[in-house]
Amino acid sequence: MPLSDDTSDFAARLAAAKAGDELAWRRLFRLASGRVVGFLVVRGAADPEAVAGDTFLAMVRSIRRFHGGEREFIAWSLTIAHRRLVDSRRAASRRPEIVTDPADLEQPDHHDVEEAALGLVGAARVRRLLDRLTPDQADVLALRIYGDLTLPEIADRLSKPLTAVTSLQHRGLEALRRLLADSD
Amino acid sequence: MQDEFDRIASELRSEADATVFADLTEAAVVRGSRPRLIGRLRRRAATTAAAVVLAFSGLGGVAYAANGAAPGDFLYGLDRALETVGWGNGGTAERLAEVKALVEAGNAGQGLEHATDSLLGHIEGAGSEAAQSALLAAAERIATLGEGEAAGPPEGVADLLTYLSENIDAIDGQAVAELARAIGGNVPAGPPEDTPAGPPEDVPAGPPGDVPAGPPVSTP
Repeated sequence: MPLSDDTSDFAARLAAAKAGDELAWRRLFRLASGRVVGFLVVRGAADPEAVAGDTFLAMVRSIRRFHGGEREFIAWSLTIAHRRLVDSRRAASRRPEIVTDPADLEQPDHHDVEEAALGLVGAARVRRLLDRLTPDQADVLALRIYGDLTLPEIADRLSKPLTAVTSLQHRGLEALRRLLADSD
Repeated sequence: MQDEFDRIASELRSEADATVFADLTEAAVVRGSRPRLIGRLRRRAATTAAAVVLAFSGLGGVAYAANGAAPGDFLYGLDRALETVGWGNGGTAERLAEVKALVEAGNAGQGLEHATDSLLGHIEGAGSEAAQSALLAAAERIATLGEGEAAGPPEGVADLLTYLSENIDAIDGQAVAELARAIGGNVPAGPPEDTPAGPPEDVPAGPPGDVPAGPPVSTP
């Protein structure tokens, strides 16, 4: 569903969702869920469905603190998704993982099954490219992609200086250019 | 590259917008449309906290000092830690006292809801969302399990409150989240056999299907 220009429609929907209206919630999630899942896929989440679920629940709990239009709503949802992704990676890093066979380290990309189930073919392909970037570069580009955010907006969302975000985007795009050139 | 990137980005957004994830959002939709359980708990927490404060007032509104626990009480250590912070610090210390009052009154779930609200502005960084989510989840677990004055506070609540009181000026959201996840027995039974014994690990986030979507829990 493309973003609409009807700000009053979104405002009414947001107010209804804050009051617990089920239909309003469905419409809000229809706006943001694809963007959230796409973001998590391109950022290589090990379990994008689980992190997306956590994100949606967090949105429900925090909705009364959200104020803004459609664009801000999507940006807000992506910010929550990013934080949930960071949390999930920290939790995973603290769980011992037993490698039974060194050959397992060379198995085909384990993301493939998850991504196929989600149906975001384009996102799956771009994920392979972003995996080759640093995490910070990939974060900036993923937010550009799924939130269509400006660099100042990304800097605010990631709590980073604008100069740092600008540099991350520049280096990330340069790295992508080299990857695409090498693949020709 | 910029133009190429913009083109790819536009295509990815279109792909995302055209894909429906109803299964992934269903649990959240149910939660979002439930009769405002969380809101009700929050209002009750504030009301109850105010009533408890008033009931013990007599020291200029700093009611907590009149209700200090004695050695042997389960929150005695918390009392001592709060004293080191000093009364008259305002806001956060008094909010924490209200949380403790709720817990002592057998309303730990409401206490955690109140803690989520009152400490919101004091948790910064990437851990804040995790802390809020974990506190509210713990409150709902307590509401589901049920609690009574005779049973005492649920497991893990005292540890959380002690941490908050000892770190009141520098609350770490991730630490709060970990402590909150351990409330109500939400801790793995034990470490795997081939790992050394140690503190319980974080419970990994589960799929949306793990979230109970039953009717609103009746409040006592």
